[in-house]
Amino acid sequence: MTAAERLQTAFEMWNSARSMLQNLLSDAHPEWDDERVAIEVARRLSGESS
Amino acid sequence: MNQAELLERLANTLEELGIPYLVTGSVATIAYGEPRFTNDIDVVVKMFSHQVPAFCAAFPADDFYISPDAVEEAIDRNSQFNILHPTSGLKIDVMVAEDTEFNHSRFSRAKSLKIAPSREVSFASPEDVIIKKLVSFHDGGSDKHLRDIRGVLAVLGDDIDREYIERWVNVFGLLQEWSAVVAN
Repeated sequence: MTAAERLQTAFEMWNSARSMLQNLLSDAHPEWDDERVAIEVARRLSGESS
Repeated sequence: MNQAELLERLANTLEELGIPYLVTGSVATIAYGEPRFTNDIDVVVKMFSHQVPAFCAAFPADDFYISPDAVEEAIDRNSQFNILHPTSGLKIDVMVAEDTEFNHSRFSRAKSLKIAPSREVSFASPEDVIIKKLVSFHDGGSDKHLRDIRGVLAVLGDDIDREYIERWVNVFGLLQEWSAVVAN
């Protein structure tokens, strides 16, 4: 693998985690709007504790 | 915004302003070693006060959080400031390089790596990334630093200049940490 391929793989991990969290949270909290979901996804990806 | 876009925006901004920089930390260990999840981009810069307004303007308040006062303070103290992208949770940690022999050395050993077919970015050398990871572990950091180092050593093997690392291991008093890494 080249450096670019390794970075691409890592960046895709982040993209996948973000997408998965968006889907999970949207399903778990249908009352939340997109902004509320985005805030919670960002909080969880950044490793903040609740 | 995703990590690739954020890294490119950062590199574009620094290059347009003529600010020397090195990507280091987990993004660098990924480039040299093994891919893993990360949320942060770490960069070391040689930056001056007159560059602060233009630098901050590249990260507008509609999308980013950056404090010009924190940037000025980091320049005064050779410390660190952050750029946050709240919508995604992505973060850039920007360390202002102090005038030290180690920083002179690592800027002189910078490597240009392709992050995309038509884009090269300035990275700290793998040896200098390893040294700073050893320092972070020594300062109470998590085991992830050691895993990152082992990943780089596993991928680069004999291409790593161990004599260079060991010189700085002695300077920074990191023999115990380095021994633990190479013993595995």
